[in-house]
Amino acid sequence: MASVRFDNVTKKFGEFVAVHDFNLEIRDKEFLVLLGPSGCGKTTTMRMVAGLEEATSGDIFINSDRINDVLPKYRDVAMVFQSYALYPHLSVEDNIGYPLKIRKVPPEEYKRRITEVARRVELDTMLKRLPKELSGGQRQRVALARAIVRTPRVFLMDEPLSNLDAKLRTQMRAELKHLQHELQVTTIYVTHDQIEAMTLAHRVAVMNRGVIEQLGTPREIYNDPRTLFVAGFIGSPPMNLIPGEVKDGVFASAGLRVGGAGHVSIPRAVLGVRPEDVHVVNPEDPDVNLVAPIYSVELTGENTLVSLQLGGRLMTLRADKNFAGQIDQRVGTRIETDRMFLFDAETERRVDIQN
Amino acid sequence: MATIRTRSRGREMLLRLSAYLTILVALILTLFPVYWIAANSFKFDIDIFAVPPEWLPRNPTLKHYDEAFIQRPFLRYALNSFLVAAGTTAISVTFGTMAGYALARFSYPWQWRKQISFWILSTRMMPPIVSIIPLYLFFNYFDMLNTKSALIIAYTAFNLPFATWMMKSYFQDLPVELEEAAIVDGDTRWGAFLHVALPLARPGLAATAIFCLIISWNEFLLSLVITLTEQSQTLPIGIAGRVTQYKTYWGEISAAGFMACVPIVIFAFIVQKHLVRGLSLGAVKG
Amino acid sequence: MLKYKGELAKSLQPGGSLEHWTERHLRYLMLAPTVLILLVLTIFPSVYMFYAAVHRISPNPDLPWEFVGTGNFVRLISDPQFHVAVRNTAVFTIVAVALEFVLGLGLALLLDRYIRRLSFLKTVLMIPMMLPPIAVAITWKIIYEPQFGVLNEIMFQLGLPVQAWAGDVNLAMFSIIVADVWQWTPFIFLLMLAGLASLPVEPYEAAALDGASSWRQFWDLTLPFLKPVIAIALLLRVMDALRLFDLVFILTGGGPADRTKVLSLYIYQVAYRFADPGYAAAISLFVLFVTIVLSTWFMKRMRLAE
Repeated sequence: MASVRFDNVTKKFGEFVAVHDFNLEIRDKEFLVLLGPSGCGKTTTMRMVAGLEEATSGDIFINSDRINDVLPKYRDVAMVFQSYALYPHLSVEDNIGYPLKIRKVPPEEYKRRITEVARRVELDTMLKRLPKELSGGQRQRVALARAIVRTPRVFLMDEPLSNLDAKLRTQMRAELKHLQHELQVTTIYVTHDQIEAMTLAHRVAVMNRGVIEQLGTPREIYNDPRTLFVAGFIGSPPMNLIPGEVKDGVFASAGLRVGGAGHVSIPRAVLGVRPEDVHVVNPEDPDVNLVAPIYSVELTGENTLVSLQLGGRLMTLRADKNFAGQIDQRVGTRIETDRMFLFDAETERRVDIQN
Repeated sequence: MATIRTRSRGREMLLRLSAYLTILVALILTLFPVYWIAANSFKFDIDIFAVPPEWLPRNPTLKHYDEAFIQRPFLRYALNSFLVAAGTTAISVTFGTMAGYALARFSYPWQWRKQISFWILSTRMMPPIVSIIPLYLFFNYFDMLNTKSALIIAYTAFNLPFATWMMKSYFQDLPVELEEAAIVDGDTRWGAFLHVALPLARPGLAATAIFCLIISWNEFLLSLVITLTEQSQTLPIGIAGRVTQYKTYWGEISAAGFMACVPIVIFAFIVQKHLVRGLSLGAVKG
Repeated sequence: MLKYKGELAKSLQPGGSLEHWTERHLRYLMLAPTVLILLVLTIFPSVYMFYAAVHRISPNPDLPWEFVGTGNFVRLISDPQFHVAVRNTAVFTIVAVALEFVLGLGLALLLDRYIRRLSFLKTVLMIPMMLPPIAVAITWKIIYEPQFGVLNEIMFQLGLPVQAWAGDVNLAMFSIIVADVWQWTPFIFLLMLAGLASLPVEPYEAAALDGASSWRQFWDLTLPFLKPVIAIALLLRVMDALRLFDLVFILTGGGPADRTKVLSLYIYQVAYRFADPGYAAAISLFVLFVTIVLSTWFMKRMRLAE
């Protein structure tokens, strides 16, 4: 049973503001992902919960206890490090048992718990080995086991999967999700990988330059981006962001005109549309928004990514896997206007379209 | 193409040959003086003075070892040397490890970290001759001349900064996440130092301790000034005492000198991996 | 289940527990003993030395110190022995360190590729600098011995005139330097090897492709890369050479005709043989001043403290 709350938390390193006036409540049993590019303050935020960094100002709570001045050992949180941070001089068993030893857990209980946890992460046959004798995936499991062996109030995970190869990462991701569901422990998970964020999180907090850009479920973040940053950061390939102007309900850019852009006129606007919401149509079609030459065609397997030359930039769309266009061929496209977004380039915020 | 290759191969052979020859000459030049002092220590006086020199001791004898270590108090000097070295090493390594850890890990206000590091290093640079006069007067005042404690205190002045810098460099090599993991796992910062950082720095700790032992064992000037009695003098002073204006006891000083070298050579082999770091005060990681 | 509730409550009062206080101040607590010890062992002598340097101190401990102001420093200017000592120290430092540097670097460049696999030999070559200086001194004393020493035997075999070496007015300083070079060239050699071992490979491959000669590669790549290591090696050697004592004390005693009287030895003689600690303190201050200026200049230039 634990919730974590940040009240106006700021962290400065000298003059540099790593986390700026941060407010967030992580609910009990929630899996919250802090997502953002490197240097956005996500790791610093998490380290403040662990007690590895001190907040410059503001309050951090676990349940109703203010923990700013509580020593890390009394916070009862567990952390999985990106580098795993296994104690190289201790065996797997002693690594997992370290948090218990510190807390002077009696021997029978100690033994029982380690066996139980080791079985859960499938390490029961390697308890006597040293970390250097393990594979990357096994080390990751030891780190995990060390975190869950004492059932902490909060799990902190700092990019725990980023040192694994792609295949293992997918597998561990599924295991992590299952584990968290089973243990029902509040989890804060830091990553720069949007797929991890989307697949693991109950809620995602997208961070940029020390502030939360948007907080919401993965679906909300994807379908309803509130800022230009979130729109550009989430999705692969990323959302097409085309600068232009909105006037009289029409978005206009070099070679592109899209109607149904609402009543507000925006002198410096950005049109955002995801590749799957742009369709290839006959250039003579009356609905056509844009006719442009093909720049490249990439088959991904399940579909084809087509890039079109639009002024000085590219627009990407997701076409059928049987798409047969050639480079330099001119094709027409239609944008699904009810799935497009408009942003004000000045404020970098989204403008709601009301037609 | 073919000609170029043959020529460079010939050059390579020549280079290799000269390199091995140089190594051979360097080895002879390095080892001969050490051999010579050892050889002389096993000769009778008459053979030491032989012209031409006797390259191998013809009648080996332990006479000079008996003179030095049984009849004269060189065993006592060696013991003094060892006790003083052990004392200063214990103090220097204990406090130097803590300070080295602090300087490697913690941040301080107002750039203290950099300035304190710099200051500690500069105390190591201070020539001992500069401090002997005040130290002499100081020990004289407190009636501590001719005591081993005085020597331990004096040696700590250069061993402690050395140990601090060495340990600082070893701790900087350790990933900080290990201690952070220990802290999150429920340890205190001090506990993380004790349970995680210290065991991992153990090879560095051993090397640092051995270096402190060697430096103290070899020290001459401070001991010369501070100690005058048999009860307190160290081995180097004992040896120097047998080189007098009127007579030099060649056999005796050879025996004692050689015995002074033996532990050092053993130690040097133990710390060979750490030599570069030790000799550059932790600045160059070999 | 592990219980923390009570402990949590206790530690919620900042500064309430000893543990909390210790953790908060650990950075100072761990550093304090060393700083305090070194303050006592370095600041105290320095201040005390200033005090001694402005007094005439009688060998009789019952007599009070007589204040002489700058008298001892004025004496420095007109003391020919002091001038000789400064010159000898400078000559020794420059010549010995230069020789050690050239030999050590040259050997390292020549042997780098061949000695990597022979780490045992490397350790053997390191022996001289680890030995007690006093043992080194007596070893060379035996070798230099004019009547039965090995060196004169070699001179004789080669048909060259035998010499008094350490006892010869013209060769004494040379003899000291040779012994020092024997002991400390391995130091430069070892550090340079370590520097060479850490050189990156790619720039050399690129330079070789660009057609740079070995000589050019040495000037344009090796030397700049080695610069930090060279700086450290030279700094440590110079500091060490300035404090030369043991070799001189045993080999020549400063003679003949003061040709090997270096500053350390002169201070020792003034303080103990001439029983004039006040004046010795003044000379010590001069040495301290030179050391500080030299080492700060070096360390600032090389940003060693980081």
